[in-house]
Amino acid sequence: MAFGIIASCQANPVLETSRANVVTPLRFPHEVHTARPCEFCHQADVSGQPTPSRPGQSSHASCAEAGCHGSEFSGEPTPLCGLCHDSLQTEDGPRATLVPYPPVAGPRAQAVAFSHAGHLDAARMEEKLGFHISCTDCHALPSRAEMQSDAPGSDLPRPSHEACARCHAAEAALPGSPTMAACDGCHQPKEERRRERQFIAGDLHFRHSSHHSDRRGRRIGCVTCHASTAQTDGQDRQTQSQDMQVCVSCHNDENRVPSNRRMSRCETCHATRSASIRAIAPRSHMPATERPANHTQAFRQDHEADADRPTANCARCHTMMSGNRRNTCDECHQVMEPRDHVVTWREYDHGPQAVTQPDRCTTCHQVDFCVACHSARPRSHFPSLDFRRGGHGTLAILNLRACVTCHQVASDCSGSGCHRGDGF
Amino acid sequence: MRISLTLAAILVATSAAHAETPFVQTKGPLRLPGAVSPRSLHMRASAWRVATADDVAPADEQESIFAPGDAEALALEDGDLDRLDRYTSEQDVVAPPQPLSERLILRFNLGMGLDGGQPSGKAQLSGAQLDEQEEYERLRIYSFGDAVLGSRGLGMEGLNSYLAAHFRYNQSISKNSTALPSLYDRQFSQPVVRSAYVEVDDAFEHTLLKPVHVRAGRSFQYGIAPFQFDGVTLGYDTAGLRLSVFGGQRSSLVGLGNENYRSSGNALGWRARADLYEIRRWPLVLSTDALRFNAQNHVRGGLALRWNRDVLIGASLRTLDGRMARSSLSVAARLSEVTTVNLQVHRRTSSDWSFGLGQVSPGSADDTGSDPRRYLDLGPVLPRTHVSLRYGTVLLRNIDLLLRGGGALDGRDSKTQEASSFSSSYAEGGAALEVHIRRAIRVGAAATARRYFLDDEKLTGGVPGAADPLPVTTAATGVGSFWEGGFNLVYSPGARLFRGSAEFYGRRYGLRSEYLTETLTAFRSGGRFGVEGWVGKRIRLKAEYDVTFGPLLMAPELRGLKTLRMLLEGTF
Repeated sequence: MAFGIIASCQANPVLETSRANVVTPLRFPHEVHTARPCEFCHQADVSGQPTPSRPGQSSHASCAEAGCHGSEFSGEPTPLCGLCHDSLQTEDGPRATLVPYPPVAGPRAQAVAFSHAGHLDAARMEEKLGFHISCTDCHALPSRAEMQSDAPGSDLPRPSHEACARCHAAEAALPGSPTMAACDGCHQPKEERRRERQFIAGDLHFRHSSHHSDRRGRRIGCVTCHASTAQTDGQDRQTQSQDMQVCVSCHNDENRVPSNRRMSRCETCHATRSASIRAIAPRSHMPATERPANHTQAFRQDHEADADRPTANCARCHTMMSGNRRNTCDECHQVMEPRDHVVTWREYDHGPQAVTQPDRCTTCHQVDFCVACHSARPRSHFPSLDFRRGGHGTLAILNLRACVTCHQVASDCSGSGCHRGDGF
Repeated sequence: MRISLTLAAILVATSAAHAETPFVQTKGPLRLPGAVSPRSLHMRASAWRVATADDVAPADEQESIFAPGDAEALALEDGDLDRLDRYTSEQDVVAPPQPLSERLILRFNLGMGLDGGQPSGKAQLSGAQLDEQEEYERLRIYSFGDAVLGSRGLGMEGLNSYLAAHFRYNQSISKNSTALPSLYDRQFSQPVVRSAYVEVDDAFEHTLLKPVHVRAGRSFQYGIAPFQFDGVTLGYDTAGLRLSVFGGQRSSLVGLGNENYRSSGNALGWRARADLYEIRRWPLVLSTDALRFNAQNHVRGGLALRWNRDVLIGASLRTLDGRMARSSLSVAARLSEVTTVNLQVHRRTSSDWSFGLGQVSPGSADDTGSDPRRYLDLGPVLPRTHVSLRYGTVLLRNIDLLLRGGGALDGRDSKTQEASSFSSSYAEGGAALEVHIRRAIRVGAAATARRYFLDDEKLTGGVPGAADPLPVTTAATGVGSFWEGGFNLVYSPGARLFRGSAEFYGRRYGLRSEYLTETLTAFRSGGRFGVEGWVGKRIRLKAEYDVTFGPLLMAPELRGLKTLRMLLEGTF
């Protein structure tokens, strides 16, 4: 039937105008198809592989025979065709080509019940199952052909159903874990999560096979780059591409990367020096950043929540820190000075700022720090005799508030017998 | 390698044996028919460890999912196997035992500084000349340093220790003043121990007791207010729940001895935080802190709505001896990796402290030197509401932009409470940006403007030729406006290689005085220049020169101020 449609499309002069609609990318709405069991559309593959076949084989039977979309397979192409096909004809004859699945770009559905953290908790796995797994048990090594391929990501394919079946086959009978028969153990259409994939595409090139050890032969673990993935629970929440700072930290280190693979060479990752590269590279690529991409100017003030996270690793760069997980704020706050603490800060600038935002001061300083200086006489108070006899008047006129920060009028001015309450 | 080859050979062999059992095609459930069930589910080593085709060992009873021919298809050349073996290392997830170098931390820095101010020859504001013979030391030399020694899991798993100390040794100066006063002027040599504790974590095997941790020594708490103390902390941390109880004596970091101020009393407190999202998937975070210090009780309670993982909307209340001291509302949102919004609103009452735990109002002001208010009198505590809003992002993947605004509103009762410039209303705005140019260079600029709303009605302006009365209030006195601008330039060819920086700034203060009818302008400008370079991976050398340009309004007797600091830092 499908070929019949295609043939009719070819013969139909309206095709050229219809095709634009046909190839319009759509997403299949699982959430409105939940009345049908999964296997109604995803029939087991004839070869016996655990990965189910894509719907639509057998002349679109699963879509058409229930009476739902039958009419759309018997006439001119409709946008529905674009769910699965990117082309309905070729020069060699009628043939429908399938769009890649999973889609290379655009939103992708997540297996919402999957937890990287749960699968990688070695102690828990050992306790419950007697074994544990690691990244490459699922993200299996590619074939030689795949490793040699230039296709993006082909040197470390994403896990297929076969990978899951190694443990989740019914025969394995792992206690408390879903089996391959229970699709909803991982896939829950009503809660389908989607995310924008950040593929290494375009002129970028990257090979996992060249990133398992550095220049000196030291291993690069998966978590070095995919740190957050191993901690995601329930669903993969990663929405950003990999942190470029991780790349910079190695590719700017002569001990880890040879000179022809440094960040300063665009060709390390890019096929060409595009105009944008030649002009100004992104901030995250800059060696001068010297800090993670999220360490913006705003971060200097608003880092409390990030520093409080269990995954915070401030001590990695802030060398005076202990690396402890808790109560470590003072390890930086007692060492690092804010930018505005310049040479005039101690004597002239800090007062107005302390009056304006006292909370800012008390983040690092407690009152005894202030008193240690405030209880000492400043340079302007010497020679003492001159200052007492009247020399202090000019300073008091110019900046009286500085005087009363340490001196109390009642006791030091009038109470001392020098001034009367109403003046001299 | 040999073990890997053997394992791989076994697995490949078993794959061939197993492949003779065909998969059963069924229409219906997505199940893997009986062939795949591994006899041993020890996934390490992985079934994907393959051997060369020539290394196939006699088949045993194990089964595999590989089909005939897979061994050949996957057969690798010598050398490939070793390379591929790296993929399947335990280290992907399970950290290997840490070497001694990872369990011991040793950092130190050692430096020398010079502070100075060259006399200009002009008289001081008091009218007296600067007397270099008797009163003023134009140059001070000092040395300083920090040392950090820590251990993680050394001797016993879960046993951590940390020592952080600082010292400064000042040139002994017999004269009364220097260009740059410091808290070391009176005690020229004083080591300061910031932290010195031992902590036991994960000491218990039982699931319920595993989150228990104990820390003893000089450590730090950031609850009601930041403070160091000598004592013990007992805590219990899980993913959604953090509890801790601590007690001890507050310790001072300025090293002047406890007799100089009244801030070294006993402290006893507890902290609790429950993230209900982690516990029950409810988007709420509850927190509470309590502290008893110097016979005063501080209690704080907070409730936050975790809108999502990166947006937290919170509110909190704090009491001091049962009276409402402060309430706050905050929104902290990370909209993307580089975009953040932070809104904070604080309202303090007359019952709040004046300046942290050590200076609580009301208190007596005596002349014995034991009350810090004697030397840090910020006037009566008046109700005031602070608002601050900050937005930061990176534009065009390069321009790091920070916008901020804020202000304060004097909330006193004008009928019963006198105005004070220590607690006046103000409004401010500012922006900063930083741009990377040609990879190794970044340029930044920043500006801030602030205006204080002082009480003009209190201005007397003084009467020429007549004695000025003593001030009754500070409502009209102080800084009326503030402007600041600056830019900086940083060159760095790479992290931990070399770094050079230059910064220039100018600050303009509009000074208001009860005795002046006009606003007085005080402008100061300066620059800061620094270089640092790494010698190998462990030694860093750093020098920084900080200098003012032009005379200072409040110190005409000096041409300016300058300081030079040189530092050597080691990381081991």
